[in-house]
Amino acid sequence: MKKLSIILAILLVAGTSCENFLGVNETNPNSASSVPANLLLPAALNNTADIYNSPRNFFFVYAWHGAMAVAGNYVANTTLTQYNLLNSSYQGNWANIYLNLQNYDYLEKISTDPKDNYFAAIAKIMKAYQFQNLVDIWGDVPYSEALKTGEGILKPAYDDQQTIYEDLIVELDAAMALIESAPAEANEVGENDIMFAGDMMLWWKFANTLKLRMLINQSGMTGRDSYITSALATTPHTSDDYLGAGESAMVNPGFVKSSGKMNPFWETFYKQDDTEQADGLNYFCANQDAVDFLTENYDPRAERFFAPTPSGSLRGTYYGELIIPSVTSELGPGLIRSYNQDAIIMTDFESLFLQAEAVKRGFITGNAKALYESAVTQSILYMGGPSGNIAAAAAYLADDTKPMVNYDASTDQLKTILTQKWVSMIGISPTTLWTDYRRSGYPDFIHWSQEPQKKNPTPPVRLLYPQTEINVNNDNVVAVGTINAFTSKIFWQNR
Amino acid sequence: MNRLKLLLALFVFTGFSALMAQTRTITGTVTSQEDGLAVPGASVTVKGTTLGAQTDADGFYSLTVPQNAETLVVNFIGMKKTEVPIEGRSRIDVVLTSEVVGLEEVVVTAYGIKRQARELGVATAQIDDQQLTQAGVSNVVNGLTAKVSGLQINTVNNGVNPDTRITLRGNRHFLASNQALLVLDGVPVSATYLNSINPNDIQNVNVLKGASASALYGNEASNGVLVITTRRGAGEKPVIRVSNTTTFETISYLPKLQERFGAGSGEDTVNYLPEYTFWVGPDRQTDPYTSYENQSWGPELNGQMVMLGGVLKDGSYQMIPYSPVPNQKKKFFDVGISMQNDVSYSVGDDRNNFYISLQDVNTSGTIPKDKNRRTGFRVAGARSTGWFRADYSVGYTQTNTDVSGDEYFQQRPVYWNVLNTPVEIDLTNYKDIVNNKFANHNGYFNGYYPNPYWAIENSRNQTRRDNLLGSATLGITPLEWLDISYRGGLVYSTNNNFYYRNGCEFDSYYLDDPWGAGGQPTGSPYAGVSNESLSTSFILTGDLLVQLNNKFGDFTSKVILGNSIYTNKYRYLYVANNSIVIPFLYNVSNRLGEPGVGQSHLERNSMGVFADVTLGYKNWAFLHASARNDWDSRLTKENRSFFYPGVDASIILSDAIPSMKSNLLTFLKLRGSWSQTGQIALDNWYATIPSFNVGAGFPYGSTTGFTLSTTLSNPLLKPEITKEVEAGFEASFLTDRIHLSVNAYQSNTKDQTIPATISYSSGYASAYINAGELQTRGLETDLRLTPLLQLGDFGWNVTIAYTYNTSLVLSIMEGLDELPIADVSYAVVGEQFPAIKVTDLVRDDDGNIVVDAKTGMPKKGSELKLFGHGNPNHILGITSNWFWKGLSLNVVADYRSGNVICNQVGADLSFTGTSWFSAQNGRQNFVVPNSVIEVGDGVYEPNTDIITQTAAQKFWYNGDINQVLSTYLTSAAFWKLRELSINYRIPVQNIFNGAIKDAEVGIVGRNLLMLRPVTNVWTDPEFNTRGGTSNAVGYTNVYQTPPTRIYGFSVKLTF
Repeated sequence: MKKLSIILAILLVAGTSCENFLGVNETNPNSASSVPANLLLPAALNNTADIYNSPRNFFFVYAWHGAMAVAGNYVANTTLTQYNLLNSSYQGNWANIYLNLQNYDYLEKISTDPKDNYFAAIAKIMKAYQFQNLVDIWGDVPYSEALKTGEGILKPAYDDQQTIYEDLIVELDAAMALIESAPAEANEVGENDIMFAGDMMLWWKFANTLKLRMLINQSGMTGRDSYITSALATTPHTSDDYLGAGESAMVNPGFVKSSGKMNPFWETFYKQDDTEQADGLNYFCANQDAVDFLTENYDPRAERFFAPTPSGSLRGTYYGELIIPSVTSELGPGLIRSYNQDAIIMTDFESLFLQAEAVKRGFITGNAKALYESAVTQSILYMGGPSGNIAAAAAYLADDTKPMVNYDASTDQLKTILTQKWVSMIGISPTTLWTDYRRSGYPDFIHWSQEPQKKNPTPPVRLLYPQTEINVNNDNVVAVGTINAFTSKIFWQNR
Repeated sequence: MNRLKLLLALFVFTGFSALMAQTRTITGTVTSQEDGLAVPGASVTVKGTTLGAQTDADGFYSLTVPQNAETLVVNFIGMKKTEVPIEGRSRIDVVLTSEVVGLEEVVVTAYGIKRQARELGVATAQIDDQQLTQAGVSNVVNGLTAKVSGLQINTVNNGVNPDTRITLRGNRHFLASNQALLVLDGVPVSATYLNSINPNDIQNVNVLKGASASALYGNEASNGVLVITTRRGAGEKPVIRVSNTTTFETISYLPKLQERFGAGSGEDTVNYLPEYTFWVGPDRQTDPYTSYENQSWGPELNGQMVMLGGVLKDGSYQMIPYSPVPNQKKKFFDVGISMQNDVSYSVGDDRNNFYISLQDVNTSGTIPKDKNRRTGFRVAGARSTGWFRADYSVGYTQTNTDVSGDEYFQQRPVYWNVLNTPVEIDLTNYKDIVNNKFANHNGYFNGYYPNPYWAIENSRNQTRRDNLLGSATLGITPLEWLDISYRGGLVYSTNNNFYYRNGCEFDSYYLDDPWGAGGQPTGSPYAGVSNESLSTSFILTGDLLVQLNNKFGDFTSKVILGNSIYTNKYRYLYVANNSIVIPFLYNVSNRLGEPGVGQSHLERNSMGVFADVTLGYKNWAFLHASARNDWDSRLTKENRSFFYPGVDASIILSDAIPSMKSNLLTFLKLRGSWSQTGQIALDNWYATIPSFNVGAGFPYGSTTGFTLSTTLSNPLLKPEITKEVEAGFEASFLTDRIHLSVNAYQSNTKDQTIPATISYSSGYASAYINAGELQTRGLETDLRLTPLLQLGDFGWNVTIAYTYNTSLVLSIMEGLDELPIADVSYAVVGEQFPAIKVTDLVRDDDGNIVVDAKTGMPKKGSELKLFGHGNPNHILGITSNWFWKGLSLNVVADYRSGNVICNQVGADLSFTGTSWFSAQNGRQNFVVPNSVIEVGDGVYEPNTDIITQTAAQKFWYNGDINQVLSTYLTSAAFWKLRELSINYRIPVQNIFNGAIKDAEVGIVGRNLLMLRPVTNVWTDPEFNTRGGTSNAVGYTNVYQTPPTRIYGFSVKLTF
C-alpha cells in the first residue's frame, strides 16, 4: 500500500506540471506569433515590388500591346497568342496581390494609436495601390469582405468596382490626413521604409499621385468630370503636390548579388555569378511595333529598351507570328541594369505624364507641355546610356517633324502624351500600360496577335476570375454575373 | 509469484529426501517437429505433481521422478502441450509440434501485455523469428511481406537502402500517415525505424491489425500496430551463434526498350528519306543521323560505321558501328553485393538472462559506387529476485548510405541518362571520365545529356543515420494477483545528410559549340553546390502498468490500469552553398552569394491514462473493454483531451458446447469488436497559433522583414476520429491440421484534417480544417494447412493469407468533392481512395480513340479522367514449406490486383524515343488501331484507312498521345515470387564431437520472378514516387531505379 501511495504522489506531481508539459505548442520556437509594424513593412513593400517587377507576372500585357514578344527559340504560348484566356491564366497574380494585401491590412490594424499614424497611412496607401490594380484587372473583386478571416469570412463577397474605386479615394484622403495629423512624437518609419526612407512628404505625394492616377483613369467616362473635379478638390492639387522629377516611388531593400536576393527583374535574366538564367534573357524579345516607333522617331532610348542584334540593328517580331526570325533583339541595358537596380512602384515620369494629361483635360492647372516634356525627359534620363541626358532629350523633343514626339507639332496632344507614355512604360509598368490603352485607345498602331486562330480580333480587356475562386468561392463569383474576357469591360472603359 | 516458487522448491526438496529410495532419473531431448531443432527452455513436468525441469540450449533435460510417475507433460510457448507416458523408460525424446494460432497461443498485445489468443475479440497475427528470417533478409520489412492478411507492404523504390510503406487494413486518412505504428520493446516509433533493426534480434512480431486491437496505444495507433519483441537470453549453457548471408543483386526488369533506331532528332525519316545520309566523317552532312543527339529518332540501325559525337579540340573523333549494343542498358548496372555478418551470445535461466548481438550489413548497389552499410549491436538482459524484476534492452545502429546524385545540366538522376542513351552506344566505354577524352564532359558524344558516370563521380548524396533505442522495465509482484511495472523508453536518432554536386566548366573550344548542338556548353560554367543537414530526434516514453488478475469461481478477471507519457523533441539544422568557388572544396565558406540556412526546433508532448478489463467465463467466453483518455500539446487547451473507448468479445463455441467438438471440428471461436481511436494529423505542430515568416529574400544586410503565414491558423482543430467494427471466426478441423480464420471489418474515419484551399481574397491561401470521411471495408482470411501432407519425415505446410480491402471516400467538405493528394492521386467523393486521375485522349462512348478525319491523329481531351485507384483490392499471400529430415524448402509468393499505376517513365522515354513503345509500327505512318472518326455531331465511324500524318517524334513525343498520361497508365496487378529458400541442417553433432551444436546452410532468393499484365512494360507496380509516408500511391517515375533479383547463400553455426 505504501508503494501505491508513492506512485499516487508521483502522479500528483506529474499532474501539476501538466500545464507546462502540454503547453509546449502554445508558442512557436521557429517563427514569431506577432511582429511589430516596423518589421512588417519592409517585407510587405518588397513583396509588392516583386509582384509588379517579375516580368512573367504581367508579361502578357507587353506581348498584347506591342512592347515585347516571345523569341523564336520558344514554343508560342497559344493561350496568349490566341487570346484564349482560361480561368487559371495568371491566377497567381490574384493570389499574390491578396496575400500581400493581408500584410498591409494587418499593419493597419496594429497601427491604431496616433503615434503609429505613419504606419497606418502607408498601409492605407499601399492597400489602395493594390486594390486599384485588382479592379483594373478583374473589375468587381472582394473588397469590403476581403481580408476578414478574423470575422470568420472565408468566402468574401464581391463589391462593385466603381464603389471600390470611390472608397479607395476616400481611403487615400484619410491616409494623407493621417500623415498631416501625426503627432510630433509619432514613431518614425525610418530605414524600414525601403521605398521613401521614411520621408512622409513623399508618401503624401505618392498618395496624392495615386489618387490622381485613379481619377485620370476615369477621365474617359462620360459624365464623370464633376466627380473627378470634386474628388481632386479634397486635397491640394498643384504640380508641387504630386511626385516630381526625381521623386519616383522605387523599392530597394538593399538587393545583394546572391540568388533570391537580387532585383526580381534582373534575377529573371541573370544568376548571381552573372551567367544567364536558363530560359531568361532569350525568352523575351522586342516587339516590332515598339521597334518601329523607336526607330522612326530616332528615339534616344531605342537601344536602351532593346539590345541590337549582332548585325547592329534592332529587330523585333509582331506578336503571335508563326514564323519568328531566329535572331531578334533581347531586352536592353536600360531595363536590365544591375542586380541592385531599384524595383519600380511608380516612376516620376508616370506622375508627370498624369499631370500633363490632367492639365490637358482641364482637371488641374499648370503647363501641360512643360509637364509632358519633363515626363519624356525623365524617361530618357531613367533609361540612361550615352543618350540618356538632358541634351539628347531636348533634341528629341525639339524635332517638329515627329507629331508623336513634339508637343507643338502634335495635332492630338492627348494622343501624343499617351503614346509617349506607352513607350516609356515598356518594361517599367505593365499595369499602367494596359490600363492606359484600355481607357484611351492609345497607341493606335499596334499589330494585334498574328495568330490566325485567335479567338477575337483584339486582345482581352481583362482577366477572368481565377479558377481557385470558382472552386472555393463560387457563389460569390456567380453573383457577379457572366464574364467575357472581350466584352466585360472595366467600369472606366465606358466611354 | 517467485516467492511461491521458492516455497514450492523447498517443499519439493524435503519431499525428495523422504522419497529418495523411490525415485529414478529420466533424460532425453525435446525437439521441434517442424525443423528438427532443439527446443531450449521447454518445461518437462511429471503429470499431477510440481516436479519439473527445463531443457537446456540443446533441448536436453534430466529429471528425477517418483517411481510411480506415469506421464510426462512437455510444454513450450508456441508448441502444442504434449503428454508422454513413461512406460518404464529412462530416456524419453519428445517431439513437439507447433501450436496452431488461436488455440492456446499467447499473444503479446498492447503494452507487452500477454494474453491468450482465445481471449481476443480482434484479429491479430504473430510472425516468429524463423518465418521472418528464413530467406536471409537484412530488412525486417522484407521478411514480413505476404505473410499476414491485412498487412500490405510496398517496397516503394529500389537501391541500397530502399524505402517501404507499411499499412494495415488499407487507408484511413486522406493526408495523414496511413503507416502502421511500430512498437519496439514497448517504445512507439515510426514505421521507418524498421529499416534500422537487425531481423535476427527479433523474437517475434505481433500484428495488431485494426484500431480495435491497438486502441490502448492511443493517438498514433489508429493505423494498427506492429509489436516487435526482441530476443532475450535463454538456456543455462551459453549459446553463440555466428552466421553469414551473402547475396547478389541484379537488375531484373527494365522498361521495354527498342533496338531498332539510333541517334537522331529527325522526323518521319523512315517515310520520306529512304536513302539515309549519315554523318560518317568529320564533315558534317545532314540529318537524320545526328552524331551528338540525345534522342533516338534517327534512322534504322544498319551496321555501317558512323561518327559519334563531334571533332575534339585535338582533331580526333570516334567512329562506331551503327548497330545495337546487346544488353546495352543492363550492362551499365553492376551486380550488387550484400554481405551480412552476425554474431550473438545468449545465456539465461529462469531468473537472469543476457543477450548480446552484433551485425554488419555491407551492401553495394546496382548503380556503380552506390553503397550502404549498417552496423549495429543490441544488448538485452533481465534479472529477477523474489517479487522484483528488472529488464532492459538497448540497441544501436549506424547506417551509412552513399548514392549518386544528379548531373550539372538538368539535374537528372543517373538512371535517366542511362535509359535515354541511344542503343548503339556502349556506355561502359565511357567509365573513365578523367583519362578518356571521349568520356569527360568536353568530349562526351551527347550534346544534351551528360555522361551518367559524371554524376556517379561528381555528385553524391551521403547520409549517416544513428539510431539508439533503449527501454528498461522495473516490475514488482507484491501479491500473486497484482503486478505493477514501469517502463521507460528512449529513442535517439540523428540523421546527417551531405550532398554535393561539382561544378562543370567547358573548355573554350567547346564553349563556341563547334558541333552546333546548342546544348550543354552554352550554359557553362555550371556552379557546384553542396548542402548539409543534421537532424536529431529525441523521444522519451514512460508507461505505468498496474495489472490485477482475479478468479471468482467460473469467472476470471484481468484489470489493467495505466498511465503513459510521451515527449518528442526534434531539432534540425541546414546549411547550403549555392555556388562553389574553388572546385572540390565542399565548405559553405567557399561560395558566392549568401548561404542557404535553416533551423527548426520542434517539441510535442502527450499523456494518457487508460484502463483495460477482461472478464472470462469458464475459459470459453470473454468480454474485453478498454478506455483511454489522451491529452496532446498540439491542440489547444479546449480540444486537447480526447477519449478512446473500445469493446470486444470472444466465445469459444467448441468449448461452450462440447458436443460440437469432433475429430472433424476441433475448435470454433466467434469474435467481434467495436472501437474508437483518434489521431492528430498535423504536420505542423504549431498549427493552432498564428505565425509570421521571414519575407522572401530577407534579411538584406541590416534590414529584415516579416510576412504573415499564408496558412490560416486554426485553434479549433481536433483529432481525426476512427470508428472500427470487426467480426470474425476461427475454426480448426481434423485435429488442427486445417485452421481457418476469417474476419470482416469496417472503419470510418471522420473529421479528417485537410488543408482546405480558401479564397485568396480572404488573405490566406489555405486553412487546416476538420472535414471529410473515409470508409474502409475489408475481409481477411488466413488458412493454414499444417501439415497439408505428412509422410514419415516428409511434410508440407501451406498457409494462405487473402485480403480484400476497399477505401471509399464518403465526403470531403461542403462544396468540395475532390481533394488533390499529390501527383495523380485524389480523394474523390464516391470513389475508392486514392483515386487516380489523369488526362486522356478524346474517345467515343465505347472508348475508341477518336482521330482527326484529315490527319489521322488522336486528340488530347481537356479534362482529367478517373482511371481507377492506387491501392490494391486483392492481396493474396501464399507460403509453402516442404521439409524432409534436415532439409527444408520455403516459398513465399503473393498476388495483388484491383489497382492501377501511372508510369511517368513512359513519357520520359517517349521524349528520347528509346522505348519499345515509341518504335511501334516501325515509325511508319499507320492507322491508329480501334480508332474512329467523327462523321457527324457525336456520330462516329470506324477508321479503316486514315493513316497518321506523322509517325516518329511528332507522333510519339509531340503528339497528343504523349501529352496524356493515360497512355502510360496500366493495371498494377502482379504475381511475385518473394522468397525462395532451401535450408539444410548439417548433422554436425556427431562430426565435431559436440563442439558445434548446430550448423545450417541455405540458398536464398528473393524477388526472383514477377508476372505482370502484358500492358505494363514499364516497372514494378509496387513502386511509388513519393516514398513510404505519402498516401499518393499509383505513380512512378525515373527516380525509382529498376527492380532487382536477389540471390545468395547463408551459413549459420551455433556453438
